[in-house]
Amino acid sequence: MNGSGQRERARAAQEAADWLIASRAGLDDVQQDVFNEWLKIPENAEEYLEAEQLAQDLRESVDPDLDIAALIERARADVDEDDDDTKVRPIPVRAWRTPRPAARGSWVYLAAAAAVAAIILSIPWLSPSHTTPTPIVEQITTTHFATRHGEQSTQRLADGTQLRLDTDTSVTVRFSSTVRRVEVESGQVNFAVAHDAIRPFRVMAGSAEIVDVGTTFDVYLRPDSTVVTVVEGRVKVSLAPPGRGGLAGVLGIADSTEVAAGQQLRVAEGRLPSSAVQVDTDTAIAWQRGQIAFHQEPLGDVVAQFNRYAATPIEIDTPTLRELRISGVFANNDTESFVAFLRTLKGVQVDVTPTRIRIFKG
Amino acid sequence: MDKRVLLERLFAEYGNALRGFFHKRLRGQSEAAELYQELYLRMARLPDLDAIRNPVAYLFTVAGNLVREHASQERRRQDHIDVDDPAAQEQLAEMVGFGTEIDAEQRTKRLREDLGELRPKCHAAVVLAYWHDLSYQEIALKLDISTNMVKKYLRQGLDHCRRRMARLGEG
Repeated sequence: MNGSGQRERARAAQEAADWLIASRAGLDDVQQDVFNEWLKIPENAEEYLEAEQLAQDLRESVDPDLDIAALIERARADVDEDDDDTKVRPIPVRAWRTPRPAARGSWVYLAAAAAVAAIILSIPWLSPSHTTPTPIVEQITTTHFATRHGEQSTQRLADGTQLRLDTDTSVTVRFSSTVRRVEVESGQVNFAVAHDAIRPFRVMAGSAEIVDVGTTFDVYLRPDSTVVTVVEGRVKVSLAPPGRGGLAGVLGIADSTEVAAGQQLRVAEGRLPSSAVQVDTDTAIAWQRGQIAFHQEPLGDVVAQFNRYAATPIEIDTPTLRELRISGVFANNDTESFVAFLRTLKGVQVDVTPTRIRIFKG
Repeated sequence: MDKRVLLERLFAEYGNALRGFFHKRLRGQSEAAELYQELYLRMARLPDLDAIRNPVAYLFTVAGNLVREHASQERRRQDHIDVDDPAAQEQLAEMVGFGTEIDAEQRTKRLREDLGELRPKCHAAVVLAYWHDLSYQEIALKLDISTNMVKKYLRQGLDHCRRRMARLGEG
C-alpha cells in the first residue's frame, strides 16, 4: 500500500471510530443521512465494520479480575495535560445535543438548517483525496412552505408529490437522492405522494412519524395530538423520534401502526394506538374542497373548525351549547351561511358584530 | 414499497464494501462468499424491510453479527472435532478458518495487553463503555470529566488498539 493510500486508510479508521462513538449515543436524522453517505465508500464501510468488531472484541478482552473501582480512582487522580475540551477532534457532523422533544418549533428548523450547512462544509473532508472534490454527500435541498390564516395553497414537489396546505400551516421539505422528508410544524397537510421505492416518503408531525411510498393521506397537527387519515393506499405511523439514544435508535426498529385507506389514527403525545379506526375520509378531507363538513359533531368542535379560517372569531357564550350535535357542509369562508344555519336551530341565538360573532342560548 | 428494489439498491451501494470486509475477515476463503449470500438472504427474509427506519444501519449490524456468529460456530465446530477421525482430518485440512480461531484467542490476549497500556482515564472510559455498558453521561460523572472528553478517550482507546492490532496483522 502506498503512502497516500495508508493515510487514507488511517483517516477512514479515525472517522470510523468517530461514527461508532457517535452512533452509540444516537444519531439524529441529518447525521444519519451523512453517515449513510459516508458508508458508501468501501474503505469507510470496511473500517467501520472493523471498528465495530474491535469494540466487540474489547468487550471480551476486559480482564474479569479488573478492579474497576481502583481504576476509576486512579483515573480521577491522573492529571492528563490533554484534558482540554477545546482539543476535541471535530466530528463529521456537529452536535451531540439533540433538540428537546418538547420544543419542535422554528429553532429546531434552524438547528437542522445549521446541521445541513455543517454537511456541506464537511464535504472536502469526507471526500477521497485522490479524486477532485465530487460531492459525495449530496446537498439536501430544504424548502419551506407556509399559509396564512384563512389561506390554502397547493405545492408540487420535485418528485411529483403534491402537498395541499390548509390554513395556518407550516412545513419544511428536505429532499436528497436518498431522502424525502417533510416536517409539519403546524396546521394540516394533504399528501399525494409520488411513488418512489428507493426514497420512502417520511412525514414528521408532532409526536408521530409517518412512512409512506406512494399514497394519499392527510396529516393534521392539533395542539394536543396528530391525526393521520389515509385516503388511498396505506402508511405506517410510529412515534418520533423513536428511542433516540443507544443502538436501537440508530437501527430505528420502532413499533409502528399501519393505517389503511379509509382509516384514521390519532397520536397523542408519546402514545401510539395499536390500531386505526374507520372514518368517513370524505369528511376528513373536505377542507381540500374548501369545505367544512361535519356529521353529528359537537358545536364546539365545528366552531373551532370555522375559526381556523374565519376573519371574525366565533364565540360560544353558553357552555352547554358546545355539546349540541349538528350536521352540515359549508364553504370554509362562508361564515354567513353557517350563521344562517345556526339561526334555524331551536333555542340558538346568534349576535353578529363587526369584531365577533356570539352564539348563545335564547 | 418494492422490497426487491430496496434490497438491490442497498447491495448496489454497500455490497462491495461488505464483500471486502468478509474477505478480509475470513481470509478470502469461499466462506466469505457464503456469508455474503447469507447476508442477502437474511435481509430478503425480513418481512418488513420497509418498516425499518434505517435499513443501512440494519444491514451493517446484520453483517457484523454474521461475522461474530461465524467465528463462534467455528469455535464450536473445532471443539467437537475428533482428530483421529479421518473425515475430520480432511475437514481440518480444508478449514482455513482454523487460523481465524487462533487469531481470536491471540486477539483477546493482545487486546488485554493493549488496554493495560492506556492512560488510566482512557482505560477506564473504554472498560466502562464497552464492558459495563454505561452511557457517556454516566462515565463522565464517574470520571469527573465532560462527555466530550469521554468520547475523546474512547477514540484514543480505539485508535491505539486498532494500530496495535494492525501491527499484529502485518507481523
